Amino acid sequence: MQHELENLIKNCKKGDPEAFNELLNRYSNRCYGYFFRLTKRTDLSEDLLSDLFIRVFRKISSYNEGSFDKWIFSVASNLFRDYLRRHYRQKRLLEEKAELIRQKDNGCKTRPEIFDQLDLALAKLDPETAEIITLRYYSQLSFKELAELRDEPIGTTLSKVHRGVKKLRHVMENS
Amino acid sequence: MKKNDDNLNLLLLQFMDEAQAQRFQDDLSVADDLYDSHPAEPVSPNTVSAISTQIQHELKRRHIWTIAEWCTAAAAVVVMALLAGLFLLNSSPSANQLPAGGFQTANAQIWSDTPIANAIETDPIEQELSALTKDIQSMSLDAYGSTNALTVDLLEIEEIEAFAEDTSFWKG
Repeated sequence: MQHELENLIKNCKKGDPEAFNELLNRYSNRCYGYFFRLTKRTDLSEDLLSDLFIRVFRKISSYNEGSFDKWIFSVASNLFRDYLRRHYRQKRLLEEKAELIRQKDNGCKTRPEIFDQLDLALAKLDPETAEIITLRYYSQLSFKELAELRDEPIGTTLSKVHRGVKKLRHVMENS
Repeated sequence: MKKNDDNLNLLLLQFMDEAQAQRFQDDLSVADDLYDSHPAEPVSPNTVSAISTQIQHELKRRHIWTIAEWCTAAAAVVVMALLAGLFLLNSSPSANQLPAGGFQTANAQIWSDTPIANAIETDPIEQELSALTKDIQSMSLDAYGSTNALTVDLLEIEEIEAFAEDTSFWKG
């Protein structure tokens, strides 16, 4: 499996279109899920996914060794944070989320397809906690890799995730 | 979804006691179950196809750029070679060049302090200066020594007198 992925990446570096297609098929759902859980918007998640793969395509020569999952999700995480900084200030995102929750609570069915219990629970967490929990789930990285990706001590990552999952559980149990 | 946390318990025990580590793992497992039971909708095939097309375009553009870069590099090498050839051709001694001695003589004449050099440099300027001096002297003579100058003076006196008599201009 790992060997297969290495070959795929080698071919991507050579500019093989088929290899890029294969890489896209392999990672698109996980990356899309990561963006979708954080933005709650299909159009935005698709745009971010597209930006992600273009960035991966342009930067794949800079990937040398180590976990490719860690590499691609670090690109995805940076992309999401850039997006938050540039276009969608955290406050606005929270306001929009709150508005969506209000609509949901009032029985408004304008965008029913994007809502589930998990979305509602994640909306009650702060964006950083929601991001780290979602990143851990979709990237399937170990805590060590997660800490490296976030460039922070492993103890800090563990503490943030623990606080997050505890709150998530509490929110779900009380909803 | 499978997680890459084979030694999670060992890792957690480095930071907390056994009970806390157990609680952490329980919470984590609840969160994972939550994500598993609420899968995000899959990405649409159209989006994947659009991204794929975009990457194909990028690849084509990259190929074109690579070819263009190679062509530019080759052209640059040819131009450099031609320039180097021309330089070598011109720097070798040939019959077309001026004899070096000619320049040296001229320079020596201009920059030395010999009487010849001084004569070359200053003669025309001195001639011009003396001609200008003569012109200025002759103009001065015209202004004060001729009858025309006297006529001008008389006219000026008459004008001043007329102006002094007519004092009504300020009354409007």
